[in-house]
Amino acid sequence: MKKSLKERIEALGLSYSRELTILFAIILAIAGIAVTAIILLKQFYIGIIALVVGIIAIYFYLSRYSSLEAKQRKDNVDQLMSLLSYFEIFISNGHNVYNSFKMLLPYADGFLQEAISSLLTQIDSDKSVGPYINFASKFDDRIVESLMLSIYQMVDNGESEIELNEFDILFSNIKEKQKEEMIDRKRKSLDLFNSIPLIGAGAVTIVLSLSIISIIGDYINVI
Amino acid sequence: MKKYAPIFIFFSLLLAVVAYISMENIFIAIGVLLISAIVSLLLIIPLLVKSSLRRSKFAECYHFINNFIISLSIKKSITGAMETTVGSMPSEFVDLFNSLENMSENEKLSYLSSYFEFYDYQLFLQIIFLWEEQGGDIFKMSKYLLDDLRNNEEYLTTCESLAKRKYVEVGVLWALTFAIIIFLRFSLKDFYDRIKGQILFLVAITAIILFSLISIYLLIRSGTNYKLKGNMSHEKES
Repeated sequence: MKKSLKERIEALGLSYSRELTILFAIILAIAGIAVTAIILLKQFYIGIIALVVGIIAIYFYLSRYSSLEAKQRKDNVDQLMSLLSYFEIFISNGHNVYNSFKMLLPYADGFLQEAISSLLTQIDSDKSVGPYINFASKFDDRIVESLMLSIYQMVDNGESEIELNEFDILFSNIKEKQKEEMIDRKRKSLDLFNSIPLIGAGAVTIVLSLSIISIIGDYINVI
Repeated sequence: MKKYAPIFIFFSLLLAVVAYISMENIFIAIGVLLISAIVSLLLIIPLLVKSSLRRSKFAECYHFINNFIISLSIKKSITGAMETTVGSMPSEFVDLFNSLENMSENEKLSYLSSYFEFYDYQLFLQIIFLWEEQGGDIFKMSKYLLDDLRNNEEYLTTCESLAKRKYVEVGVLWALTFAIIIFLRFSLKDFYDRIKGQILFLVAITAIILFSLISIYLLIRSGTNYKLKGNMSHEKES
């Protein structure tokens, strides 16, 4: 089911009224600039440019929710992986799957705490694979689904050492990949800063060019 | 703070010198010096201090847990393991530990969770208390915890080195950008004499210098913002 904009904004932990206020402020500012330019200053093209820039700004403002949602999904998976490391510690120390999930609650917050609580409630009434699949579906990630299935197999086969080892092999591989992915994300986020001094150099060039043009303009006026 | 202050005083002076050479305006140069000193003191240095403290605390925690588990597997007693481990810790930690004389060994370990504010330390405590209660092979019991700690340590070390490399790269690129301005200032003297009084030129160059300051702040913020798994306050932030 497709969520409304209000639901999407609130799911991101943002205030719907605050977001709307900012959006209306942007629209008003753009309309103000455009009207002033076209009607008062009679600068039609500046007004049109202001409107185009404004529409682009509104588009970027509204489309940032999708990237925030994607980031939130990634963060949730990252946090789950951290918690599954603790889960593995509890399991290896003799706790059963249900208790291990319960012991994760103090280490989880927000979305994950709710998801684990809901998983435990569902396990209470349904001993099938259903609660594990429902839990995995909240993360929209196939890796989480395979991990949860592996955990269910552990429960189904009596939580033996063989099952724990199988889970460990699967989880170790995923953790290693996740670590590499996190490092890669860090590298990419830092790489973005390489372009900033280049923008600075470009700005210097533009300033110098404009200054040369204005000097040439002065000469022409004198002639 | 003391470690970073001279670097950023020098950095602020450098920006002010660039501003003065490129615009020959002492007021703008002083303004740039003040703004960069304020940004460094209030934003950049606290960020670096906080990050370095968090990093060294994690390294200490990693060292403590590792040594404690190895010592425990040899000495088979918490008191013995504690003595050996504390001996290998930094003086600040030893001072704190010595102030806990009246506490029992378990109380001391529990108290240290306020010093090592990491989830990993709490898991370590659970394992130690379980070992005390039920016995068993401490290496086997803590295998996954040690793996997790080692993973975190590797992640942090890699992120740190990536960030340091990027600081140098971006620093060199900004230095080259400013070198263009200074080079033109001396090689095209007549041209500069004409434009140095123009408002557009003064505003634009000042804006570029301040932009470089902001970009350096954002770079340091990004470089010091790593997901330190287990650190409660940080994990909630991210």
